[in-house]
Amino acid sequence: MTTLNNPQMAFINSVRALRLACAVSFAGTAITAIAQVSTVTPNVFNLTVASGGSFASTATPFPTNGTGDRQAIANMCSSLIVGGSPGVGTANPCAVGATFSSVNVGVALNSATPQIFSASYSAAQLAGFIPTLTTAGQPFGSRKFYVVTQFSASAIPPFSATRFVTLQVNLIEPVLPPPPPTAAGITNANASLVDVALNGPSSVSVRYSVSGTDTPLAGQFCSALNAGYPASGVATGNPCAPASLLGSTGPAIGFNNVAQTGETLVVPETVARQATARAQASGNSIFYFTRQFSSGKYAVVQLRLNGNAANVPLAFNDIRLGFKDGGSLQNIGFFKRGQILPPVSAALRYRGAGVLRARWEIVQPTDTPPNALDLQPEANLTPLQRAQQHRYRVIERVNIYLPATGQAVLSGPSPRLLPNEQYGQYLLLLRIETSDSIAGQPGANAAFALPVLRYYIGESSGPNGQASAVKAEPQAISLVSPQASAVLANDAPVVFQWQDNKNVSLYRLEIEANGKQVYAARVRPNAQDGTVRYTAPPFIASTLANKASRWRVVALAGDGQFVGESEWREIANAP
Amino acid sequence: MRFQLSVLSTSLALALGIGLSMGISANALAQTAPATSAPTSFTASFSGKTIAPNDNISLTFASAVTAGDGQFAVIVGTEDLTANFRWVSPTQLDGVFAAMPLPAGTNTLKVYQIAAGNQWQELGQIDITVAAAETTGAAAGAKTSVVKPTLIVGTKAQLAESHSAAATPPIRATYADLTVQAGLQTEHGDTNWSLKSQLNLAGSSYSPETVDFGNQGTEAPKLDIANYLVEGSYTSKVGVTGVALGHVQAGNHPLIAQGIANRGVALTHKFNERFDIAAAFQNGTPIVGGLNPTGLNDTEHRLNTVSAGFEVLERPGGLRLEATTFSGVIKPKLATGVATLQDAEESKGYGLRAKAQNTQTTLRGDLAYARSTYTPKGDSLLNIQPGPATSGNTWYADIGYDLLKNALISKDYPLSLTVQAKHEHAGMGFKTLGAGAASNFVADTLGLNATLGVITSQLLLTRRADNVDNDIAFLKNRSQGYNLTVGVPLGQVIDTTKPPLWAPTISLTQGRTRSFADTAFIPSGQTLANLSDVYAHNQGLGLNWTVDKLTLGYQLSRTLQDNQQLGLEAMDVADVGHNITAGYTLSEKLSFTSGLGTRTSIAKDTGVQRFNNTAQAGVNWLFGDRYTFTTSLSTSRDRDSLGTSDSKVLQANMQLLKQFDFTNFGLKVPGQWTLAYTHSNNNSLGTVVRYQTLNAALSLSFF
Repeated sequence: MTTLNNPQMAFINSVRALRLACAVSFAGTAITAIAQVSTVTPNVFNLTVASGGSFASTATPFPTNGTGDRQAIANMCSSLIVGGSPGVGTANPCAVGATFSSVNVGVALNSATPQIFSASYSAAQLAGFIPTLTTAGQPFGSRKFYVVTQFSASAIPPFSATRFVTLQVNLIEPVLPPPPPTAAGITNANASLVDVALNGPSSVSVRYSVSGTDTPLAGQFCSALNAGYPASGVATGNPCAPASLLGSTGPAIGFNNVAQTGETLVVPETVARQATARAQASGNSIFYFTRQFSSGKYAVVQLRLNGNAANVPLAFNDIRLGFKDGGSLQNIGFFKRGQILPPVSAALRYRGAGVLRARWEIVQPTDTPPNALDLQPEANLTPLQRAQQHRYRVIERVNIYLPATGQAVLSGPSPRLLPNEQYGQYLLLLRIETSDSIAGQPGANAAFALPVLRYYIGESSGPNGQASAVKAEPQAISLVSPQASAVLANDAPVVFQWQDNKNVSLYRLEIEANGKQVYAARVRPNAQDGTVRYTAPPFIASTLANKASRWRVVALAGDGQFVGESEWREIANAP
Repeated sequence: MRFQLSVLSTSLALALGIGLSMGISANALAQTAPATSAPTSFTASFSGKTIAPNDNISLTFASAVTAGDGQFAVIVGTEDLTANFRWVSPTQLDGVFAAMPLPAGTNTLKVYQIAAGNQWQELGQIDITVAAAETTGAAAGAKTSVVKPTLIVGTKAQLAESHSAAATPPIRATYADLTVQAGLQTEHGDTNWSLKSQLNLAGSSYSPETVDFGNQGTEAPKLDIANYLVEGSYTSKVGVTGVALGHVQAGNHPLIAQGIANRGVALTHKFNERFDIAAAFQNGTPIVGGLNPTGLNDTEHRLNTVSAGFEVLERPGGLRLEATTFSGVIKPKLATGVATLQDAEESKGYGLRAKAQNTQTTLRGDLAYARSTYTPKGDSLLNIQPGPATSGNTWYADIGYDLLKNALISKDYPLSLTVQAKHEHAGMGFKTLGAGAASNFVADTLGLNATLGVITSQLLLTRRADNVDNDIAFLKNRSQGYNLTVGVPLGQVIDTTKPPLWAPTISLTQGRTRSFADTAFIPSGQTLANLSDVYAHNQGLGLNWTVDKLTLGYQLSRTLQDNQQLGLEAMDVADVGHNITAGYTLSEKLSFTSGLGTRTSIAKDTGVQRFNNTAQAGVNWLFGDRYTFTTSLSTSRDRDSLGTSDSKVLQANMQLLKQFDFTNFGLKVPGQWTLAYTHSNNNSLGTVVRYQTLNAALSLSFF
């Protein structure tokens, strides 16, 4: 409804009395209207709307000094026709079917005195097209509607020289003081700052304290809280300021209805990037995560955008397992029975720092495959759930300090330890245990199931593609003995020795005499002391006698790929 | 918990199959082909035939041979191939050449027994003819023609299962599944062209074990493509052109696109020895299965890489320039071997790289630059709107120089010294989907590698900082530290020719890193107390002995995270671990491994300690007629000093594997059966979780 000038106030009051104590008014400059309304500035207003269907209006009305407008009809619609926009026009801009309220006021506007517009709309009227209006605690987001007031030079039909003044009204959730929390349900959340990545995703461990039971519902990220809400802890009512919303998230991962519990929260890259952009503009690197619980209360966690810091518990964002193949990782492998497998590698992206404890385990073809619980890192689970995880044959244990650099490549178990006898499908698991951190809480969370490296033992191997023009950098193999230009004795075994390399499955010793290869030997890594030895047959000394000889070692991966080589080393033979 | 045995009818059939195969294998051994070359005391599986370079071979001796590891040798021509062979029974020596082929041509294969004092005694010899890859299986007139199928059909069954009340019940207590592995390898070609292919399929009658179950769930085909690659090349007057389809690799620029191994198509062309180009169009993730055979079905999930390289100097590697462009768009999808938080994302960029080395290769340089624009595309599942797009640059300069190369300090101690320096700079807005390059940091690394005789060492100095834009909205984290590793084979140092047995090989590591937030950057609302300052000390000692067949090892590791953050100075964590390993290889047929470990971590502010003790043992035993028995036993206990956690785990595996040859209708079909028992018991504060299973498998390899 639109009402005008003081003589009509009685009418206005009577209308308001019929409403649910709902009123809205617009503050702005006057409509310039000589004879008729021609412009309206501004034409976009914010309407603060409380939860539950009541309006909160400002006291300032919307004035005008129109003198030629004779008729006023107010339409309210949820959308405009294509090309329609707030302002003044000669046609009704409301989209067909979008009008949800229309009131013919029928008052005179022919006055030189500045007039005042004000409008009242019931919650029921708005609820017809904004269902969330009647749902307590839900944000209105970008909801908006339009008030279209029709002016005419005549007071009665047929109207002439009609003008439509269109105002856009944005619905804004009000800032209300938080009610005091009740004792039941969630009682606390992380009290301190939780670091998350700038411009990147993060896994974050969030701990909750719960009295009795409480069930987590949806969560929100926002860059600001409404006034009066705590920066961290528990609040009743949604603390997130609607205009600062960065995104929403689903139910918690790793949550359990126990007294002390928590979740492994994902801060998506898109949220982190929005937060980073806002921080760059505002100078404030803090933003918030709120999670609603079935008790009606909200957990509030203060997040800080930061690079990699060493006082943050380990948490993994990305883990990729594969067989090394040049500069690539192959995510699935086929190998012949008995073939030594290529080296395995795990590319890790993580937050924080700390000692990574893990186990490489192998699931053999006859083993029960791991289930969803088995693939969770221990830090995501309760002690009972950890105990319920299936255990498989341990191939190798991992205990390594990961510095606060965000990336690391973890070498897999020695290829010599990976089984290759039984036909069938094998699964190599990296079981990540909890790690101790100086932050006072265990780390090594990951908001995903841990990856599995699959390989098959059969009668075929490969394929190994190489589309790049250049292969990966070769590794240098260090020779130990015989020393350069050493003289080989005829009466003693000749032992060739070089430094071992963990990623090598097979070495090839090559011996040349007078520029031609006269002997070669394939040697498996055979020692635990860091060096590999090969004792040459007795006839090698005579083969090389009186010839310019030299030797070197070529290193190969389990799939036969070239890994590296040593330099040539001269041999001086006894004649 | 009572161990309940429940045998399925299919499992009975399986057991019958095992029994059948045992009888058949004895017959098969008796029918081994006679030798064609004298003198010899063994027969060979390849007698009288030309074999392919990758074919496996078997040598069967008339009587048992007592020759363990290091006590026999197999030489073909002038190459010692002992590493490819192993005794599968006292009379059978098998050679596997999947990765490294047999030498081509006709050579003499000799088997030696090696006695004490390196005395080599020949046991016999036989001629072996191995076709070169270009002529294997060739028809008359054809240059290359290889078609090699493989097919393994098997069944595996869980015969019995039991679990405690607190355990997670299995989806299937007992079962019997059919499994298939199939492959096809082809090679064709002529002087100017070649076409190679490799296709691998895998199947299971049980959906969760099918190849693409992760993506398609129960809709995944029971038999599906795991991976494949078809590669073709053609040599013409304008160079060598290559095309690859399937599981291809792409990218050689560490900053913009490197080592992408996904399904797609790749093209290469080498104009001459100095100029080459490459292009690849691949799926956004390393997919499996046949649902998207080319990998290119979805234009919103694709990675494109194009590069060109040019050797400026005639000397290969003297100075090589490369340019790479990359564009990629991905959706969040499951992929084998990958766990990630990636959203829907897009990036476009280019990179330049120059690599050079001098003639002596003593001076090496690598310079790379990249620029990329990254656009997040939101996550519709979580109602998250895309964040803003960002652009950024990154680059590094890496140079290495051999200061000394085998400089003779003394007769036994030549000295080599190499210095390596690297500077990296990555802008805040940089991100690419084609490589793992990080963003928003500056780092300097200086490495010094020294080799003095048999003593090796490496010193690494690092310095790093983030917040490269010095934005006062964010903290600026810095780190600096060093890491030193030294390896000393003490026995070799004392006596090169006869190292004393008591002298271990020693490895030492010592490192320290300080990671701290720069106090010049305190964002609004934060204080000095919010700034991290942590010293991480790492120390390690390794002692290893090898005494004949016995290997012993001891490892000590210490980590101290010394917290110096204001107000949190007492929150240090110390971690100390000891590990002892022992291995004994009695022969090629019998070996033992064992280990003991203990680790303690202490939170110094609370005094709470966490203890972890482990023990494991394993046996690998080849016996009788191609039987292999393996067992592993491991225990661990993880507890804290408060008594709030105490987990005792026992895990045991036993497996008996029998290999046999099923011969019928003139065909010899290798096969194997397996019987396996697993037991795991986890006692966590009195709650016992126990699993036991008894499984069996039978497989036949038809090609």
